[in-house]
Amino acid sequence: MPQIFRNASGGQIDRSKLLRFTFDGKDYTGYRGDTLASALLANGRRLVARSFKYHRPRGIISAGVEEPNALVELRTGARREPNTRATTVELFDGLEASSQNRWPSLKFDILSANQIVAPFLSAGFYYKTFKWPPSFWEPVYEKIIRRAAGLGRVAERADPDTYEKANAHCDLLVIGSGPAGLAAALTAARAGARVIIADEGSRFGGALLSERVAIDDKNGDAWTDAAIAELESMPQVRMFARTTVFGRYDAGTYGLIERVADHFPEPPAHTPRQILWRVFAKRSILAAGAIERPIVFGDNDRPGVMMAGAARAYANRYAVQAGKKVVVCGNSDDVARTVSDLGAVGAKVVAVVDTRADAHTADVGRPIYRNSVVRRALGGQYVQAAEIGEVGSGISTENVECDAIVVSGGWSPNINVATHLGQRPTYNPEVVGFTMPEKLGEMTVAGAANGVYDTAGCLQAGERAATVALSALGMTPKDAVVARDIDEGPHGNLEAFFHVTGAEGKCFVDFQNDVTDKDLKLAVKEGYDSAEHAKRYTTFGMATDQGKTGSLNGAAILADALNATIADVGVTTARPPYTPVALGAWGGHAVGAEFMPTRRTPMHAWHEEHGAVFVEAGLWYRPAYYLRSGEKDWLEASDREVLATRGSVGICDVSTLGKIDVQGSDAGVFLNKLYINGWTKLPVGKARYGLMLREDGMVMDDGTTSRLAEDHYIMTTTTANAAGVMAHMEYCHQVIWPELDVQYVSVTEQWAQMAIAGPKSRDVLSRIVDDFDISNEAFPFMGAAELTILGGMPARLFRISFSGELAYELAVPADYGIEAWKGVMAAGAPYQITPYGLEALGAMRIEKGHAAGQELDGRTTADDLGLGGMMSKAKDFVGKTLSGRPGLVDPMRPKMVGLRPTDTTQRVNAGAHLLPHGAEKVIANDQGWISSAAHSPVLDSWIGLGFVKNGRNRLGERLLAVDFVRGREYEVELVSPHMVDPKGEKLHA
Amino acid sequence: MPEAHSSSATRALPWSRTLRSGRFGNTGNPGLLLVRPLRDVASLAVIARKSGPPKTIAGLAPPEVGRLTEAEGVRVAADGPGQWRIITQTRSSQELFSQVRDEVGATASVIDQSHGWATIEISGMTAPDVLAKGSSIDFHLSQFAPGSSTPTSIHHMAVHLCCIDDTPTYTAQVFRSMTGSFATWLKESAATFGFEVEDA
Amino acid sequence: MRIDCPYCGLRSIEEFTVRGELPKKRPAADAGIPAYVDYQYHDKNPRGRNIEFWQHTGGCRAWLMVERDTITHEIFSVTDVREAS
Repeated sequence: MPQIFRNASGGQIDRSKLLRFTFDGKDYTGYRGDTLASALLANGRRLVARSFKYHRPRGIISAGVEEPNALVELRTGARREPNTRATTVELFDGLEASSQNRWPSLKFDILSANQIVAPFLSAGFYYKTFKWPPSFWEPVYEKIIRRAAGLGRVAERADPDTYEKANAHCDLLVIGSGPAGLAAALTAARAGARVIIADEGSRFGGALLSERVAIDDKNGDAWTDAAIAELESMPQVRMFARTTVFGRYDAGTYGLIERVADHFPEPPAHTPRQILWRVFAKRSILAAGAIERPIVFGDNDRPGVMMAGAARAYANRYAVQAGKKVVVCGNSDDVARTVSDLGAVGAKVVAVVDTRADAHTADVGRPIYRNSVVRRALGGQYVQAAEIGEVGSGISTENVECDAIVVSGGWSPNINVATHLGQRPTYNPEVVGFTMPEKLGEMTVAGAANGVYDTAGCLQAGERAATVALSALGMTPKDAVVARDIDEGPHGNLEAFFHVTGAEGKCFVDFQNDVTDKDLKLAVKEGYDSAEHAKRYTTFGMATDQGKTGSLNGAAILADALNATIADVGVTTARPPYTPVALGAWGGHAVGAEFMPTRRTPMHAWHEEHGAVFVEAGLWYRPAYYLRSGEKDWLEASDREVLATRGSVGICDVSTLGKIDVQGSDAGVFLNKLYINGWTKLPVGKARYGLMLREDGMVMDDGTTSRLAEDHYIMTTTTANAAGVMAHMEYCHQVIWPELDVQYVSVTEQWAQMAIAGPKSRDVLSRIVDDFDISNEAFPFMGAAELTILGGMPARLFRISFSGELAYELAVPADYGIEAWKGVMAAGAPYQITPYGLEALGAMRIEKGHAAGQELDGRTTADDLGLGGMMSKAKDFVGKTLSGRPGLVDPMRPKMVGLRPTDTTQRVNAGAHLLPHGAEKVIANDQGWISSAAHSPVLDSWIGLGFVKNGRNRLGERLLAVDFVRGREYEVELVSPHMVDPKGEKLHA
Repeated sequence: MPEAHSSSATRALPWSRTLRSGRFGNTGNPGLLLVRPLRDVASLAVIARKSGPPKTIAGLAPPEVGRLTEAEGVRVAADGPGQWRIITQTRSSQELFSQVRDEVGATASVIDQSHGWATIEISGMTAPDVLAKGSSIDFHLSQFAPGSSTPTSIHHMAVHLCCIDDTPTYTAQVFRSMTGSFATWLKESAATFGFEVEDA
Repeated sequence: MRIDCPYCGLRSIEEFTVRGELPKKRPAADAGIPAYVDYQYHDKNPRGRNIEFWQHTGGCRAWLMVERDTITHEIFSVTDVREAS
């Protein structure tokens, strides 16, 4: 299809590079340098979307990020991306785009019947209508609303592209690369400042690319190109094209999204699709330009209605005619500039409509309607005529046939990013717009973003803003950005005009959210009379729009309805992101298995090679069990591992336990502060079980700590709490007891550690220790020693037990871990040494009644766990006083007990609640809960640990376990938690 | 700690399963990044006692916070106030440990971390850009210059960084258990510049 | 948000962990339950300027006293708690 709206010459497109693309399956062509929007317009494609609520036909109204209508889906399959603005999509060969929010087709959309019932879809419609009955919400209302009001469809498969996150630092961040931004960047960079300049466009230059401006006898491009070349040549400057500064955060932090590869069908090899930058800037200059606002008139959303600045951009940059017969309507000298630019690409301007009585457009040579305005766009799916009437008359006097209506209501400074920290803009009647105060922290607003609309003014404003920034940085400007003989078209002489009164048809203020002037007036009538309330009631300025185009028109309409001024009404708060940022970019590389870092023990490879099935324990991967061929499930494997360990010997990787090396002359005193029990009298070469409380009296962590020398202890923590205990120690030392001479550092990573447990464990170890007497007499229960094994390998040995068996923990420097493990396996071969995982470990500790993470849940005291007797009365320790609070010493508190089902075939699950037989199953009758459960192959029954009110005095009682989650009930008997070897004879063997 | 007697045990290289040698990513790029996993590094934590700080550590004046000193293949880097780390490949961990413990006496506690901290060198003109994908430090050579050292975090991992020359070359020490995740992060972050993993 | 660690320099928030506002001095061992309840639970929680405890967990591990405005996030001073007393 020929590009019938493309002028034969002009523009900044490369006509030698023909690009093919499809829209809704139809083939089109464009050129390199086009956007999807400019190419669609070149092909005469006007209808590109259906609106959000009413499914009205919509066309392209802008040439930038503010585009509210032309939201399209790009690409297909896993790369399908909804809600992309056609005006910002760089055309590439093979691009597949489609319209959205229409069914079955764009031209015939059944849901456009919404317009017919539109009176019912007014402001607050959802709040008013879908209130009753609640049972209708999910099955009925939500389905209808989703279909009717959804925007595009997300891809249903995982995104195949990669995204990255990165940080950057600079003295000055310049946001926008129009004349103000370029002048600012040049001024600062010439003075030696580290400058980052970012522009959302594919090329730098901003308005210089889309307006006909000649600077210093050159055309605008040449000046721009020279400025860019100079910036590129300076090493202290980083230039980010295709990069949007989407958010301003505190302390000079900015969010930038760089679209590295969006302009390719798919990213080149090793290239991320996008990079999310976090820029730390000492100073910043917002030179983001301005956004043209519409004039609100009847059916102002009809395809063919376009902003005047956009029509000039399409003409000047893309050589595309906004129409063949154009009506130009406005309220400033932009009207004349538009007429001239459109003429230059061969568009015929059939009428000029100016709201000003004294419009300076006498020389344009077309019918001119002064003191007049377009009151309604007539036509069907396209504009066919403009209905014109005098300003304020309330009546239309003439229809002018046309295929496009080009409108300018003036420009609104693009202050969006400047407001993200909560600073409020104020209404500036000189500018006819909202501008930011001068004091804005590290930011200065310059150029059109500050209401300066002529090129010379923008160049000066950029230079001045950079000078302010340099002075704050303690630097001085060197070479001025000398200009300038500037030749640009007429502009200015604006007379405020926001909306037509009494027009027929729907008058849109917010195109994207389908909000009309009537909606705003209704909101006021119904009491939502502040801008922020009206926003929420009508959805005006919400979603990705954030009030970019129509916010001032909306404020003017609200002001009228309230008999107030625009300054009184104000504008709603714009929030980051300025334009949408893909969630993938926020994730960066942190997706899938590496969402968080993972941790592997030194013996991980051995476990993998021997059938381990891993479970995540925090960040760690730990063997849950080792599945042997012929075993049907984890239970069979775990039972085998328990029986082998209790029957002979097992080995378990416990490297993940937290290990903290504690030294210094006050090391023992420090441990006395941390633990509820005493440490200064622990003999060298001995280990002791310790329990730590939080200051509120609840248990924080437990573990064994050993004394290796007078001033040297090695502490162990649970795997889960290792980092928390370390931070707690640092707090206690640095903040509370800084006078203590104590040094501590995590050595979790330095040591590979393995538990060797079972009646044959001593026999196994005796075969690998070098010159070390491991007999019960020489190395009794709770012994701790440094030694060597396997002919010289340094090691530490602790005779401690979690399983309740005769057991040891052996630690070696981590790089030797796998060799030591293999050494133990070889020495244990005659005893059928069996590796066991977390399931077996858990079963054995539950059999023994040892508390673990499920019991140390932050709500239990030492006494709840049966360990109250450990609390020293002779010393102060963290949590001592508050653990004496009445609620924590109440004997009726739930205490830890063992639980056995009376029917031993019943499975026990953690999480069930315990109630008396026959009691109503309500929380008031709750007696406690099951915290841990396991299958005990030794007892041939499921068993559990739990907490029962006054439980220690209720052993033998039977309660009903009620498991609402699994829909099960079964009877359990309260027993001592020490369910296997209650006297601990095996430990001391 | 008992001295090890010429153990036949060899130290495993924590990077061996996660970093293959070879060229990867955008290898046509002139700013190719060199990645060198270091083997048999001896590393100690030295923490000043109340009677400290030590006058010398491994023969070197303890550097100020944020700095490192280096001589004859032994590097002492600041870890925080009153805390340093030693990094060297010139001697065994036992040898280094005994020497430094004797040297500092009662002025500092000395803890062997040779096996706990895995060490890697990252070198090339794109190295600052790669590191900036993980850490909020300003890696501009005027800011984090050769001779700088600091702890930081990258993708939730504690990482200690030294800038050792103006190529620039950095050494990074990470927890041994996280070498897989650190290597994954490094490979993904360096792919766009291209990188070469050297033999350890 | 960024905090200027007195040892490591300006670092971004992901390197730090907040504990809450600066508590009073830990009471003496025999001060009794009410004194500890006050110590543990009674925060001023002002709107605006306040002093908080932050730890440079992803860096030098120092516990820092950060004087910060809870509305604007502006930070006025950062001190190592060991240097503060």
